[in-house]
Amino acid sequence: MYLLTRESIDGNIGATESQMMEALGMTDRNSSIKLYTLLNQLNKSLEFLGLEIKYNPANSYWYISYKDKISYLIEKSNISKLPSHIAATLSAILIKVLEKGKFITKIDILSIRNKKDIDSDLYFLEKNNFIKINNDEINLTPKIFYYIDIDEFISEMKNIVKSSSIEDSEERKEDIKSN
Amino acid sequence: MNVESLKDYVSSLFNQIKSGQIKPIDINLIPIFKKFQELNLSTPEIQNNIEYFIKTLDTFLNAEEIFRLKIDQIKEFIQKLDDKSIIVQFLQRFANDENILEKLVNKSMNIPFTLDNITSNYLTDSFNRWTKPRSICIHEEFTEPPKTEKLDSSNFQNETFNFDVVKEIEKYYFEIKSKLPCSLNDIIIQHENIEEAFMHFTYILHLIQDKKIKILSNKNEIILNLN
Repeated sequence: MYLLTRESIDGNIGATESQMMEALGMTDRNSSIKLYTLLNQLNKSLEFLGLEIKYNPANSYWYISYKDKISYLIEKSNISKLPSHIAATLSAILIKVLEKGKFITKIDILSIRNKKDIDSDLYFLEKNNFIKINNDEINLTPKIFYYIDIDEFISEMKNIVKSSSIEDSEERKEDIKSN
Repeated sequence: MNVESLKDYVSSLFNQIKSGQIKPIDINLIPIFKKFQELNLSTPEIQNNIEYFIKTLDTFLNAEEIFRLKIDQIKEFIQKLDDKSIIVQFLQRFANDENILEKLVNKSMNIPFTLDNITSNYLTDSFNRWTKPRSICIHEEFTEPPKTEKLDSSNFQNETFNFDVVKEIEKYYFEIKSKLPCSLNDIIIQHENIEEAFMHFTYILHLIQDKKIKILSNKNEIILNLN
């Protein structure tokens, strides 16, 4: 529990399997199975507290996160919300990274963001260790995968596209009727 | 790294599992994940092989529940590669809509649970406190001696007393008479049998009630009542 809730200076939250095994003194051949069993048991105990164990595939760290319903309540209280302009810039970065699959540039972001200057947003995101800027290259850090559920992000994007297509088709039907 | 070499790598892994050379739980999934990350996602080859990769990963699912979660994360990542058309459609329609972009991020926001201010010593102490068995007996110490009222001896009724018991008390009185004056402990504690000790204690109470003996509370002594 102690290891899974630590945030290191480099922004990594939680612990890797080897870090946990070392701390628990697990050295035998079956240690990984024992570790998974322990994580399973802890996950079941945490369920009552509205927490769950998650895995960040970007840096192979295990960590603890709020379960969906709880995070929704926290979100409602505005604790977790980013300022709208920063959230929009981050959204643009994520979309571009998903589209290109590799690092992106500032020009890529500006192609989505209808804004002349995004430097302050990028500075905020870099300062919070969400992105890494190297000359012109902008890369995502593993930390972003703790805070943004990419799966949820894409399904939300799907929902928006779907609902707008339904609206479009209904408008078209009305146009045809009126004509 | 191209799709074919990744496919070879995954299929060799699959064959090793099938032949029992390695257990699914022993596989280090990070290199596989990194290899997927290194791929050039714009190639149509990936789209054609997505199903193969998902099917192969499904065969790894004979392990623990948490291990399943680990594989699911990679499966999710592979499935995301299939969502390119959605991204294109989204960009065509909502690229410059700040409200929608903001909504996207804030709706998929996750909050990791961190306890940075709590040290391991504190957590260990709390754990030990919670898991240590504790006595449920409540010990209450009086700051002042509790006040008692004088009992009216007429309230005690001897009528129902068995004659044999009266005889026993009488016998006990003659036994202890020669030892008096002495403390209550001197008479009672010498009994190894606890039941006998309690019985004699009740005899003493009856003897006090019958005014044959009395207790000097200031000295904690039992003496013969000569009055």
